[in-house]
Amino acid sequence: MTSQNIELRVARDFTVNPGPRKKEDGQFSGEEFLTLELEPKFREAYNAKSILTVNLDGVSGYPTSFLEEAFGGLARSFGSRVVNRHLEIISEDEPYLKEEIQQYIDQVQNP
Amino acid sequence: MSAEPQEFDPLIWATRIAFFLLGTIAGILVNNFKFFTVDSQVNVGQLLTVAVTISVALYLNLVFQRRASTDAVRKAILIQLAKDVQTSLTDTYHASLVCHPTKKLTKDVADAITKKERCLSVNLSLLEEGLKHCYAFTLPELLEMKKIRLHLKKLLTDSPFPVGPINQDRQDRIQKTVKIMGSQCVKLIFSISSIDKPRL
Repeated sequence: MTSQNIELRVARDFTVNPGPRKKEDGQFSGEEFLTLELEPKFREAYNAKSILTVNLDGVSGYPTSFLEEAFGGLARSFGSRVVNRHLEIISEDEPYLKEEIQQYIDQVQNP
Repeated sequence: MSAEPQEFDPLIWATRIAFFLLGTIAGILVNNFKFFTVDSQVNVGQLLTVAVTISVALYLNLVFQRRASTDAVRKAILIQLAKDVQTSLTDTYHASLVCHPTKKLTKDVADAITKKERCLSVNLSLLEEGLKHCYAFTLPELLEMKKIRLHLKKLLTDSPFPVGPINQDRQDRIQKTVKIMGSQCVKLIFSISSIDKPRL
């Protein structure tokens, strides 16, 4: 990786109350997070041959539906190998979130 | 923290037996003192040997006792952490009981489930951290609990959560998974109490 890491803080840049899977189900959905924040920033990191650091701390909690839609969705767009290479997760509040997200990424087939 | 029943500890029993044998030998020596003859030529080397032997014995006794005591405290803390996991599992289950099989979830109910489930996750990670710190390994029961916890989280918070409704079939599966995780937690507590290899 060549340039400085790009940072995305969910609590600061999106919401402190992550919501459902799809936009039509309610506010602050995983789909919304993916399209508005995660995917654009990941693309930026990917083009810059850098790493996107996603900080998950400071929110009330993450439903499975939100996480799977956001991070599984990212892996469905870019492939799990590319996502693993350019994404770093920080979760001090709930350490097991990293393992959980890794599962959603890894279960996606590479293109 | 509630007091745990004292369990069999080889170190404590080895120390007790050693003291019993020493006491027996000392008693025999005192009772038969008049029959002993003492060499009038006691040299400094002999005195030093006795002093060093006694010092080493006392030091070893101190080390064994301290280690046995530290190990008992560690186990008590780990068992308390496992009990915290049990409590948060029960809280999570109680939060999910409010779900109606045909009605949508209110925001308060959805928030409560998310928060209680997160508490369960954090408590389990603290227990894992504690085990790694005290004994430098993870028990198989804990690995199993991690898998079950993730499965439970999916049942609780995957779609249609947080909108709902959570149907009866899903609620039955939640109940079953909570029971499995609860019994796994009991097994874990027994495993912790029977760990016999403290970290040196």
